Amino acid sequence: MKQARVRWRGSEHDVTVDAGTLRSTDGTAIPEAEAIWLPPGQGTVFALGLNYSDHASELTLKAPEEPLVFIKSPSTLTGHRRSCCRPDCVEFMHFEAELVAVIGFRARRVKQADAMNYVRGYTICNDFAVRDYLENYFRPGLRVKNRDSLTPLGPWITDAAEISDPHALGIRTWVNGTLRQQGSTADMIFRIPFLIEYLSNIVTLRPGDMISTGTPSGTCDVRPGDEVAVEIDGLGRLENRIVSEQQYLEELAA
Amino acid sequence: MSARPGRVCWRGNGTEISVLDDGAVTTAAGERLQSHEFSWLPPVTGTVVCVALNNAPELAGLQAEFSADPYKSPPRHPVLFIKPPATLCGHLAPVQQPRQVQSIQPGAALALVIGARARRVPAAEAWKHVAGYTLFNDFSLPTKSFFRPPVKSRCLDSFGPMGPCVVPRDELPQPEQIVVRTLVNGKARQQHSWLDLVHGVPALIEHISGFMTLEPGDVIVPSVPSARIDVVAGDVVTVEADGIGRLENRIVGEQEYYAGIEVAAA
Repeated sequence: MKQARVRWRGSEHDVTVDAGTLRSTDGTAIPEAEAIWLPPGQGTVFALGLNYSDHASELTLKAPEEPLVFIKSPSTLTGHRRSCCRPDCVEFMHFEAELVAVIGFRARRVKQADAMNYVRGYTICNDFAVRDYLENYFRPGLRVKNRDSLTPLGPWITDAAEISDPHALGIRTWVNGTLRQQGSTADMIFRIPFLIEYLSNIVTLRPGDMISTGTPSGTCDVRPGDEVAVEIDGLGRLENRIVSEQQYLEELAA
Repeated sequence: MSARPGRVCWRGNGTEISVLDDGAVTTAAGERLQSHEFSWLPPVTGTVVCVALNNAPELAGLQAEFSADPYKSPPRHPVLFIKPPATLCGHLAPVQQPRQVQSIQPGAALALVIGARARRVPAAEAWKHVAGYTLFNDFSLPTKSFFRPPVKSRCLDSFGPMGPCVVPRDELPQPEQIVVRTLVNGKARQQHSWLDLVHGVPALIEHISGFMTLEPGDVIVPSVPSARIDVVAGDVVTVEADGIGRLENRIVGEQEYYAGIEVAAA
């Protein structure tokens, strides 16, 4: 089953997605063309940096000896087909295609061997970053990774039962129809069971919390007007359009 | 003095309350609650953004360290981090000392509560978006590093007590004069104010709202201290400020903490 959240006729709906049909919990069919996609989950997002060795070397950084984790607040999250705002006057804003594990049960000091029992499902994240704003304090900082509209999630959460091996999924990013990033979740440095054990030793993971597991190599700069699509085998395709700061603020005001 | 909003757990539910002039805690329906009937929750439920390294004398003392690897140069912009919802708790809630550490470290601070959505707000307009103040305690595991996001040190369950309630901004026209004191078992151990901020409140709101929209109920903690004291299970840590109130929390061992959570959930 695929579960999503949309705004339709002024209110938010939990929906199931089946062969392109959106159906709310009370059975109402919602035409996709009228729906605004929201992030499919609302918990705390724990995001990983440098979790694929090829991406770490691409950034000329040594692969970390323990997970590099940062936290995102709800303000940065957005949904499928929503606009993503590139700040004015920056040199380099890149996409990062990531597999997200969605937590289904409270998890505290969970062992790796049990960890997958706590995963409810999976979704896709495009963890955009504005490289110009990197500083060596709490790196990567909120100004790089927690910007309005720059963490699209979705389109939906696919049940864990439908994904036999989350560490064997092709992951691809297309910019304006050209394949720009291609990898496999097999190449993660710290895999999902390890991450659940690691994080649940720090803090209790709650239902709806999400772990965004980092990106393979192949990121590149994106500009206003670019259409960016992230695909992960079995999870769908998360599409977003880059807009300028002015366009973004105008859309919000409309 | 006007009524001060807050939140408590009452009859198993998160409930909005007001604290009246005489200290009485009342529900929206006007019911007066006795202290044994409720427990305090964080007074608001928004995102908590803290600012580290924002005290000028403290930052000056770290210049040599911050010129070397891995920092290479002192911070040019406010150094921000998020305290996620799992860390947040209220006045009188227990704070855990995890089993792997010999001590934990409080970080007493005065916090701003956002009252009106702030998106791309210039400094000159910033105060209009502030509803009031509350107290915050940024607990941390002992650490010297500011290089990576402080998840492992500062994002543990219970490591962000906040409250007891929100003091409306118009009650405190000179917030930079407010002295925030840390007491351990009743003894004064630390104090500071906003007089020495590197980035003042209006500049912080302009900076933060320049890239992330702040919503009503979000919280900015303009300066968490870098110099830290150690506390251990059994200690009672109080953050106190004239005109705001006192935020008191007892440190308990990890096992006792999680046993209490299970009892509360049962």
